[in-house]
Amino acid sequence: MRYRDVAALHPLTLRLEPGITGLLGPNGAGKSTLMRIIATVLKPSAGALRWNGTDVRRAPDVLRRELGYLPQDAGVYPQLSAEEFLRYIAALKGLPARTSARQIDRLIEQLNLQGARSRPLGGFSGGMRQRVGIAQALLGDPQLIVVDEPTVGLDPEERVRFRDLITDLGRDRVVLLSTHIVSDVEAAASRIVIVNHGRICADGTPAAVIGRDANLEAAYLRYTGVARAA
Amino acid sequence: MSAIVRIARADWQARTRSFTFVLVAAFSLQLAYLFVPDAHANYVTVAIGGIRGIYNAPWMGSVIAICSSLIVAFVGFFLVRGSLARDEIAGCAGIVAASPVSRFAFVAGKWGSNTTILVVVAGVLMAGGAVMQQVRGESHAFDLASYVAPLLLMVFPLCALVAACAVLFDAIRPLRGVAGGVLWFFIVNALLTGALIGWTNGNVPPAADPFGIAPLISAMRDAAHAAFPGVNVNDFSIGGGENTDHRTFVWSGMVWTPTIVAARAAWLAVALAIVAIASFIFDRFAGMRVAARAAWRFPVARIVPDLAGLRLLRAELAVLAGESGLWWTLAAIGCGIAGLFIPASGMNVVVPLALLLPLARYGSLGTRDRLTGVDALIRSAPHAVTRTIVARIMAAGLIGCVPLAGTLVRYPALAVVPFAAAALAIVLGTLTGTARVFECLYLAVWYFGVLNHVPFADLPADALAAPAVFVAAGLAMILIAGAGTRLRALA
Repeated sequence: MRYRDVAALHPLTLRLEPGITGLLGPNGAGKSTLMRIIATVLKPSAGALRWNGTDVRRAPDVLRRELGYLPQDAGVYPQLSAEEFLRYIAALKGLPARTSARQIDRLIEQLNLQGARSRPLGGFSGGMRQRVGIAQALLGDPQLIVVDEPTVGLDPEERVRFRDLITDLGRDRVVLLSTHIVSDVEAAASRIVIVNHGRICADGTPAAVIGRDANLEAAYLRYTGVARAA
Repeated sequence: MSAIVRIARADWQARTRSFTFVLVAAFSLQLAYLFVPDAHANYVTVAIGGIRGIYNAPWMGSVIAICSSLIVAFVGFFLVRGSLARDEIAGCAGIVAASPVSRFAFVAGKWGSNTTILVVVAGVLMAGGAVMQQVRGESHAFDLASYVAPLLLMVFPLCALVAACAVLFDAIRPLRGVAGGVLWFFIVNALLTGALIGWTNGNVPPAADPFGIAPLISAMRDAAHAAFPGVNVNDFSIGGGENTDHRTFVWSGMVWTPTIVAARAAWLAVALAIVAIASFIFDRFAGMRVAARAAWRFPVARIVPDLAGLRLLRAELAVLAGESGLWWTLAAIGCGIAGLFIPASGMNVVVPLALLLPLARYGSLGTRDRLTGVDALIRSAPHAVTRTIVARIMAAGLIGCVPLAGTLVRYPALAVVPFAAAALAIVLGTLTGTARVFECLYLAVWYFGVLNHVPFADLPADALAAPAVFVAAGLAMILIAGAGTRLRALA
């Protein structure tokens, strides 16, 4: 993937399977670009993207129908309530009204938004907005969940709640989770991918990536070269 | 279909729950009052040869429909445009792009919301007109069908058409900004002029009259002629003709023939076709990424000295220069130089152009901080609100003087116009939260006053006659903008 003369992502191959894949990397490593390509928001300059054998570049809706995506810096309409916003996203995803009402009720409960479901989103804290963002990604029971920095702004209790939720979802779905908080992926991910300078520099189970290092954070610093630089 | 309705509903909810929409509704009611002046007022809203119909239901319905059409076309477009850009600003664009919603469903949903907003504005005007009929009391009989028919057949299709054009202009990225507003102004004026000229010639094909105004005017003209055979039926005024002839006639409304109804329905089909074209052009927010590229910018830091008292002004100039780009800067400098050499007769071209170019710079003055999230930083700095407003007016005023530079050598008093315009942009942006109100008002003043020299709106003539008024207005607007910024922070 190139922006003018700058390569944001070098050629890479990534095969995602059910389970949680944690995507780690420093700022500007290319994580968000990779996630946007997978989410069909960005077209790669070259290469192929397939979902269950279908060429997504040619037929993006095949993937979109099974996708839940939380972009980095996702926004909301501040004038709408959480419930109204989720109804809007349900309409975008083409969910029938009855199904979406049931799912919205369930997600509002799972993300602890019951007390605020009818309040305008403009008055929400950053963490509460992020939970609405997570809820919209999970609407429609997606088979592929792509979440970019989902735990930003969440307090420790909500982070644990999110981790439990995503772990549960990851049992039979493909989850790609990008974060800077190494402990989040260390606890939940079954696979770790570390990206640096637009290239994959580590890919494997947490144990394989950690190898001889003390923990995932130490391994991450080694792979990204931060430890050497320091 | 369900997705379109649900998207339209959410968009409608998001857009109408704002102070701006309350202002629009209140303004519409005020207009309804102005459209029905007292019999002894010095103006009439709609008149044929200086005479008008009595305020009965058919006349009132038609007059309000004619005025609503003009408001929907000129102001309504600015009210509803920006529905796609808003998703980018709100940060929802990525979510939409990754969803399986079709481009047509999404764009049609936005169109539905736009249309509903315009229909509501027209509906408020009609409701206000009905009340005013009873208040004026020339006829208390209220025939609902003859009152509402012009709204349904004239205004509603126009609402759908204007709403579709607004979505189309949003889908074409270069038309999202001021260029789109200017282009729209010229298109509407050309269409309206065509419809009115066609009417006086007695031949207006429906394809040339999206307003649906011609058959209505024709029926009114026939009724006026029947009541007063000597009246000059070709003298038709809309909006504010002088009320010198106090005669009235009774108009019982027009017959909406199947041909007229079919012509109006055809315009609905045109609106749908425009929506389809817009959905074809809509890039699913893919073009959003390109906007982040590094652009050429005027090197302000090298030109403006870094002096203690000028730092804020220098910073504001740098922000505006960053928004300007190479082509705008070249056009502004070229226009400024042309003002030096063009003879006085050429001023009718140079001055309007010099006053139009800075509109692209004024638009964001009152809304930039909120859109970028910088407003909290400014409010948290010591005495920064007023200082920022003053610096911003000075910076935008100076930038606005660039295309006027050559002209200012001959007419230095014109310099007050850019500064007053910048102050007004900040006030309206701060109070309404959108740049579109200023954009629409400025374009109207520019078109009618600067270009067509309508009294009071002719800014160059006004500035040369009374520059002190502009200065006083600018100072007053600094205070209003300061108060508005603080009020918004409390809200």
